[in-house]
Amino acid sequence: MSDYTDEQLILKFQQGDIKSYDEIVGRFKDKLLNFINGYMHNYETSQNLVQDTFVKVYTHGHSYKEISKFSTWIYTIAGNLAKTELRKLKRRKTYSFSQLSSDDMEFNLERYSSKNNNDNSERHEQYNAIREAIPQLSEEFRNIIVLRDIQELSYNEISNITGLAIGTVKSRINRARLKLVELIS
Amino acid sequence: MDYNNFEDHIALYLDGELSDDEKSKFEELMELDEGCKTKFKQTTALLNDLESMPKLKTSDNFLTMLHQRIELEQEAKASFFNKAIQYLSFSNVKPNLSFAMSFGAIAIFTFIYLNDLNIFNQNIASNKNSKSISKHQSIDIELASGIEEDASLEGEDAFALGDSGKDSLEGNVKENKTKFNLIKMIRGVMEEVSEVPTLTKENK
Repeated sequence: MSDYTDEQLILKFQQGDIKSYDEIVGRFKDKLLNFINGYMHNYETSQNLVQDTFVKVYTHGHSYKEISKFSTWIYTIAGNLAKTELRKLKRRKTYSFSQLSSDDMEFNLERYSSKNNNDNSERHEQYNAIREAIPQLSEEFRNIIVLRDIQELSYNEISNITGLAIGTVKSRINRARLKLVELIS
Repeated sequence: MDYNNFEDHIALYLDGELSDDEKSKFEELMELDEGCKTKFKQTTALLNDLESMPKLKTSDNFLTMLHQRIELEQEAKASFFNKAIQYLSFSNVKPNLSFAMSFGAIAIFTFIYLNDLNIFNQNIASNKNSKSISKHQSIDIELASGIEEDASLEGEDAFALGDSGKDSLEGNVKENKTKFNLIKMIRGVMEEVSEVPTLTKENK
């Protein structure tokens, strides 16, 4: 199953193979969680939205056409869900994500994979500094940093997901990285 | 390429998208300018950190939870249709109630059917009449002149209600006049229209 491309898997799922669907979930669940968390900065909400994304893939899987990469399609669904949720939350004005308390932030940091236990303290601090700095970036910079440097997507895929021209993506990634460096230092 | 636009070329350099000429210029600038060198080093260090940084992980029971959710959604969909079918069928309803419901349904159906028939007949009649009117446009002109006279009489009647209320009623009377005009016009049209088929036959 792992030899199949994403596009082959979704095609098999469209033909009724549930195992292919599970394989897709396995491949994308963590990537999408990190991507959505870039918007939401809340682990539980982000995980719920990842589930929403996969429910949509399950119920609307037939609507995927192999004209675009599957990753582009699924990231677009996830991004749209995250944006809708953000709009809802902003309307309700229950709380602002940019004003998450330090407790929330620490809670979020605990959710990172257990690898960090093996990291030396200096490196661990550096990682935490990056995690705290990313939410401080403006949305346009944050998305691109997450998609390019954390999700490692191609410029073409980022362009499709964000709707920006490739040239804009390239110039924005430079500025986003420099801004992040500035925030960390 | 110079110090000012050096930053714009960092990503291109790292992605190997600079031409040989641009690449050598970029490297030369890094050697000559300490600021450029620092920016480049900081960017590459950040990229290394981002790459090696532990990422968020979904909970261990994510897939199980997802399948439960999908099942729930499908059940909710299915139960909605089942409820709709149950609601529409009389299988679970008591005999007396089902009789009452059936009777009610028949009564409603009959009422709508008869009503629709009337409306249908009226529509046919009005369609025929409207065609005839278009053939006899002179009727409209005669009708309009008649209505104006009638409406003015109604207006005078309204003023005869009393002197004290004259001023306050002036606005209302104007409104009434228009209403009377409209009502009279509609009545006139209906009366004339009912006569039209006989007129057309006579003409023929």
